[in-house]
Amino acid sequence: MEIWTNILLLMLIGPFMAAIFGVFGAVRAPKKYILVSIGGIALSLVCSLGFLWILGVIKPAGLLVTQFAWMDFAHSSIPMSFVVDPLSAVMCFVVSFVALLVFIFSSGYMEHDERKARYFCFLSFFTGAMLGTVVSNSLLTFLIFWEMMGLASYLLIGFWYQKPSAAAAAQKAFLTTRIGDLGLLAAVFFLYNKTGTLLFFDHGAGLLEPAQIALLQKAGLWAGAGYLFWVCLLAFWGAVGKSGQIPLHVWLPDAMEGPTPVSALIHAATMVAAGVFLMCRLYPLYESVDGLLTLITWVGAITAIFAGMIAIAQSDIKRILAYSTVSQLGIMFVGLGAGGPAYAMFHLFTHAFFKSLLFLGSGSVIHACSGEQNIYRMGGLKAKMPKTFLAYVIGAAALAGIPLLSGFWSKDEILYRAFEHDKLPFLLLCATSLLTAFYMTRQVVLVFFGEFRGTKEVKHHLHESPSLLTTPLIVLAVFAALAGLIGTPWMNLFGHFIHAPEHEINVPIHLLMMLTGTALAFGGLLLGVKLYWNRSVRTMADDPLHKLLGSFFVFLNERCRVDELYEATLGRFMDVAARLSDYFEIFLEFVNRMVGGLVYTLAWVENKVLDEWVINGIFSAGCESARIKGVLAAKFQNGSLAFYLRMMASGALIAGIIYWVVK
Amino acid sequence: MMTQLTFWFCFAGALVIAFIPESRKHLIKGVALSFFTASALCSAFLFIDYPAGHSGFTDVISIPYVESLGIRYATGVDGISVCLLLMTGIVSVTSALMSWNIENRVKEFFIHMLILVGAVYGVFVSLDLFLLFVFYEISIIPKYFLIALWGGQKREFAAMKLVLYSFFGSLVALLGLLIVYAAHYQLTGVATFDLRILTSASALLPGHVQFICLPLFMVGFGILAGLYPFHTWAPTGHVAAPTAASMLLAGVIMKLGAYGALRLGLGIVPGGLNIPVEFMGFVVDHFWTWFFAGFGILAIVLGAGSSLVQKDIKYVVAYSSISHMGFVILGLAVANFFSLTGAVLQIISHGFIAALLFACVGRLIYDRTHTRMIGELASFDLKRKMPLLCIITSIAFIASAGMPGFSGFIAEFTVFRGLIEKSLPAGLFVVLGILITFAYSLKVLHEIFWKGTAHIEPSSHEHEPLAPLSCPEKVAAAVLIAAIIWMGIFPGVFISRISPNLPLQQVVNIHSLGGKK
Amino acid sequence: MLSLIIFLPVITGLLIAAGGKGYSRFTGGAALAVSIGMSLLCAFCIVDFARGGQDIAFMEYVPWIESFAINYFTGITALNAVFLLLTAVVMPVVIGVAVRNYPENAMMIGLLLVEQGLLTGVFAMQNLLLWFFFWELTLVPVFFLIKEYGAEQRAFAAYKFFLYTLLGSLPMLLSFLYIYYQFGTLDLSTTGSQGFKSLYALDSIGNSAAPEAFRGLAFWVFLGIFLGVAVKIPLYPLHSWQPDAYTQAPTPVSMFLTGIMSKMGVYGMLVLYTLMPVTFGIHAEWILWIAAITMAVSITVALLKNDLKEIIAYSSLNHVAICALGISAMALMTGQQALMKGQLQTGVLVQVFSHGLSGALLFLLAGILEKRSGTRLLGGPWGLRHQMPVFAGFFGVAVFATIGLPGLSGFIGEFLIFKGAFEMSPYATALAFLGLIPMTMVMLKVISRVLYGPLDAQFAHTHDMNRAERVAAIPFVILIILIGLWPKTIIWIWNW
Repeated sequence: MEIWTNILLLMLIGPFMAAIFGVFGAVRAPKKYILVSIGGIALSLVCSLGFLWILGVIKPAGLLVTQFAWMDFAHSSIPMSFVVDPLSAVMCFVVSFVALLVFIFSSGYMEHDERKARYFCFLSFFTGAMLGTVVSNSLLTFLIFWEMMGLASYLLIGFWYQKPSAAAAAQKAFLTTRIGDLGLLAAVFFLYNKTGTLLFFDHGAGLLEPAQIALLQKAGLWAGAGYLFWVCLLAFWGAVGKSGQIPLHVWLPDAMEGPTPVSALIHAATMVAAGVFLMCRLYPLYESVDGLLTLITWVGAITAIFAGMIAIAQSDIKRILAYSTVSQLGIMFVGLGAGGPAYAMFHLFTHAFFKSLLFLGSGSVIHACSGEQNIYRMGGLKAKMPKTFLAYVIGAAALAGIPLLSGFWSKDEILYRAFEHDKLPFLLLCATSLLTAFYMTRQVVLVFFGEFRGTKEVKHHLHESPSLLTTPLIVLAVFAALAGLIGTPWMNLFGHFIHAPEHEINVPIHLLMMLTGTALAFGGLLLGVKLYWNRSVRTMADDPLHKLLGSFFVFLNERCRVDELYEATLGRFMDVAARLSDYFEIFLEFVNRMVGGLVYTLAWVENKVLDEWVINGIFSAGCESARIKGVLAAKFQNGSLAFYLRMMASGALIAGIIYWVVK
Repeated sequence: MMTQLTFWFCFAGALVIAFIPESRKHLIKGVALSFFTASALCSAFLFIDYPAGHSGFTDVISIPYVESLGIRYATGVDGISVCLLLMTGIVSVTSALMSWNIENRVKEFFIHMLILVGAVYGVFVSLDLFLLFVFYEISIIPKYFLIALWGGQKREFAAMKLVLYSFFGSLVALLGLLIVYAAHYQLTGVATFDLRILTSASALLPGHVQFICLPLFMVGFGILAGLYPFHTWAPTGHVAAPTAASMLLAGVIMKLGAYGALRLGLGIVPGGLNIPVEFMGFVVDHFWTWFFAGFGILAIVLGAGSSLVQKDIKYVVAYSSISHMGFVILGLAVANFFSLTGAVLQIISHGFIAALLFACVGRLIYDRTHTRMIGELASFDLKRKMPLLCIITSIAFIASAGMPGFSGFIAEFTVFRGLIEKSLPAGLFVVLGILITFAYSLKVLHEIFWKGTAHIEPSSHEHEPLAPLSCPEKVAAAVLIAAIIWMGIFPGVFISRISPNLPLQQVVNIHSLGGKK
Repeated sequence: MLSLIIFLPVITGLLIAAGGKGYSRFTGGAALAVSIGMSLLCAFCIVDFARGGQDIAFMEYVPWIESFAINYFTGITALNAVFLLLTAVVMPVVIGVAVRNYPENAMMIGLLLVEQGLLTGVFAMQNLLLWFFFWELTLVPVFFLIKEYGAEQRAFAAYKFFLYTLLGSLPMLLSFLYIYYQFGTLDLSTTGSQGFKSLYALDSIGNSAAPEAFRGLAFWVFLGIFLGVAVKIPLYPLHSWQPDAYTQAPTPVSMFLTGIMSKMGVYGMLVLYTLMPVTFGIHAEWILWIAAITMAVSITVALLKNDLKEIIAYSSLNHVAICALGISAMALMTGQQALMKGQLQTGVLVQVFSHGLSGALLFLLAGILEKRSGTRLLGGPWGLRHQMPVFAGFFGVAVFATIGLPGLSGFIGEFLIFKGAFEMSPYATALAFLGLIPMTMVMLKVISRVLYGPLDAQFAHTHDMNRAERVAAIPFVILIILIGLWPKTIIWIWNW
């Protein structure tokens, strides 16, 4: 067993152990338990750094694989398997790093919740599952951890189960992602049945290795497209569900019902990005199918613009961020489709930092405003909470793509690749980045500038959050600002590290793209400032954008009525199906009774007609008359022997005659 | 010697009781019971004594009686008859116990009972067919009086009907016997009524004789075995008869017919079954097999159907016994190894079960509630007042429905097994019959016990006190249940005695034992 | 050994049922002791069998009716081991629950004990007649248990249950007898490699013993047995007894109804497959469709239901039908796909075991809930998570195991079965597969109605699961998680 496998196990054991502790009696000593769980995450962080070191220094671009039998059959077995390659190493780092900060933040944020032990238990469980997903080298293993994440997300969204809205949101999230996961599951079945393996890398026999891919490419057609096409489509469907792309994006904004740190970790930085990660992991397959990458690009682009548009009309600080997440994920998919894993992963990398930063910041804001989430009732917080303000602005700028900040670099490369690849998605992306800059500006202005528009007592309580909350913000702010620098076109460490195929760069166009991006970012910024600068917006009515767009704004504000649409179509369909099935049940019940009744009736008729009327009638008539005449009866009463002998004799006589005849 | 004792004990008992004054009721009962027990013990001894897997008659006595006609006084037992004797013994003892509460004309009652049982023993042991007929006819007379004097409503009519049917049947059978007798004399010049000789000679008898005699025997004896459509004496008879009589009637007397059909019909003229008949161009192979098998199945299904719709539990039981005897007829008609074994098994098992059923219905329930109407019985809330009664009756009905673990299942499954050798589809009708059987058994139990008195208003009898089960009743019920379960779990004991003695000369089936060779 | 495990509970159970009235403390203890003892013994036997790795272990081969060549023949094989184990795991808990909830009811406890013996008998018997014998006998105690101790509709449910099952099993008997007639024996064999004459692959071309007549009627024989099995599983459209029975039965009874009795059908189907694989293969396509339709429709119906037990009943309908799906897919496979077939069979057996656990656990918890709330109907939201966190935990495990969440036992079986079935008949399987969506909806609805939301006033003083209830639930939970994470724990028993 090599050293790195030990590291791997340590990395997984840390959080999982913490979670198990949490199940058993963490409630007694929550304070201590929180420290334990933070320790667990720290352990994983160290391990992931170790991996970065191994892959960066000792064996660059190496591929570490381990596996052990999980299910044994007569002649086969389904193994559990783990891999550490640059892709997963980076992801591990992101996950554990953000997780650690979120844990620290939460320890302050959830201080007054009496179920905080349970909270940290769930959170550790999630982190463990996420890390497992990242390092798994088998689709099955991947799927198991993937679903565990879903469970964790379900539990954490519904953490405040007393709130009906939270319960509903959790249910929705689980159901929607589950619908996606079924696609992935089906993909697993088909891949396994065709190739007989579920391993990604298996010394040349793995799914992602040339031999199997060639085999899959040869596999037969269905409905005009290749086997591989459908499999990849199903897998993509899974990713769509997890990463909240259209049409399965509906759950993600609702997921904001959970505690804010949860939104930061799960629904911004890590879990929702797992879909992108999956696509990057399976990229070799997608490469070898034509058409799918285009599809992915388009889905991504449309989601990006769609979510961006909705985001500009939201009034809930977290919802804005949620839709922005959806839109950014869309951009990642575009990056994947147009460029490749390197671009998607890079944006994922940077996005993880600034988006979690934004969420934590909003958490800090909400914390300060004693639970208020509506940006119309905020304002002028700059003075009250400078640290938060600073961090938040950096995050917003990074998201908006202000030059030299992390978001700029990652998005710019994707823009460039999209431009090279296909023009229309490119335009959509441009519009998206304009919108992004705009709604972030809108948010920042409405939250931090102007005068406070909330109630008196809220105003009274306003305060900068304790350092336990702000420290993570600062750290994240630093990363949000600088993380991009490792992926600049001139010195693409990130690209090298995950040894993405080198694309030749057309420098002038690339510069043009940078300028475009910058221009768009500042355009959005200016637009936002122009519209919202010291304008006291207290309700949706006096939102300048509302005046501008009118009912369309309302429509956007109502999230384009997608939920209602689904309710009216899918919900109705399920309902009808259920009713039909139930009618079938009732019909069967009816048939049962009919049969029963029929048998009974027939029996009754038979008894009345055949038994009593025909047969009985005939014979007993005879007896009756005989008895009344009393002929036989008399003979009986006075000694039967004579009669009996006479009978016998006559019988003999008849017999004789008959025999004579017969003979 | 034991063979003799079985029936002589009974007749002796009758004689003894004749000299006991009417007033000494308990003495009479005691004496009767002891004689019943004595002959039961004899038959038990015979049963145990008869080696399993052995074939042929033992303990044979044969004394010339009317040399010229070849009539002898010959008795003996083989595997089949010992099983039947055992069954008769158990049923007779229990029926005596069940009639412990007879009060009027005790003396005559038990005399008739003893004569009846004695005659039954006689039929089962007699090797000379003339003797067999004598016993057969003797059994008729006490039947008549038992019903006519101690019976329920419409007793005279019922008794008369029963007697007429029996006479008609015995006449037909007698006719067949005489034909066989004459034919045998014709062929061999030997005038004999000896069962063994005639059986061994059955191969010699010409086809047309066999073809004519078989139905004569089947119908003649079958009437008493509730052969459809000559079964209607049974419901009226059983219902009108006093409990003990109906126990004997259903448990033993009906079996006389089956026994006769087996011994004479299949023993002497089995060839008749296989003879094809041409009718309007159609050739029906195995004509009589299909004819009687058809009526057997008809009895199974229609009998069950009838009991499904009865309002009077005694009628339910009566029709159920017709439906069960249908299995016997079916088994006899199909006439291969399994079906015949099954038929005999069914004879025995139904002996026990029917006795138990009639005991429950006629004695345990009726004598307490004085109604047999299902609708009214519900209102007595028997389940709460007499749980033991409820349990006994439930066992009786479930056993009669053919639940595995009770004797009925083994018998019916064996007949089944024989039947499908002839034809698989026919089995489906029988399945239908069994289904209905379960249906009505559960229905009756539900209606009279489990439904509870909640929805019967006014639940008039709910608070009537009911006499608890008396000791003899408990003992009798226990004995019968024990017998049923014993036979259900260890059927081998009976089968190993029955199967070697089956009259299979003509109808040996290639699949008979241990599957295809 | 097996005979002891079969008959000791039967006898003690009968004694308790007959004479146990009034000695409630004693009878309860005795019943529990016998049940647990026998279960341990059974488990020991199974482990021993798994160690030994021969075709059949603890064989008892005694003539029962010599002249009919019918033998009393029991043994543990790779096929029935897991079923026996399931019985051994579930029944003690069932009896424990009965002892706890109905301490006065010697009758009920006794009958449950009898049932344990009979169920063991069904799975252990290697002779078709005796198998049928026990198969029928198991009905009787259940009938009385439902009818006596059930809910308001009990009588109706009991009769429906009884007659329906009979309707299926009589044709089965007919088929058995025909096999007996053609082959002269009823001794079963799961491998065909025993020394004595035994039934195996009757209709395969290689089987020289099979006469022409049998080949001709093979389909009808198959159909007869299939009917009996299909009613028991149950498959549409023969299922309508099942929701009634499960809903009306008292908690312990519905626990083993869903936990074990439904598995009798699956076992029967496996036996049927070993008996006549070729015929099965020919007709597997439509059987597979029936199973798929059952899965889809049943769980869709549950969307409308508001009665917790009824919902569980429909969901278990779905989960047992998936075994039928797997077996029929197995029958479709050719010799070349032996590898896949092995995995599929493993899947079926794991599914049997895991659904036995999760279904029983669900009913157990539903019973506990019913005791607290006084109704089977889902009101809510009740927000019980606040009042009874432990219950919430167990309930969550049970529900997510039912949904088939990876990491819990439910997933393993479903994964393997769907995988194989997709290969053989994608469209039907897709239909069944989509059934997982309503399944998720239903189960989430249940959990959110019961656990989520603000605490309902009526539960303000409800106490959490007491020790006894926890003790009852814990083995299930542990096994569910254990198998989910480390399926070897169960797979090694039948080392394929």
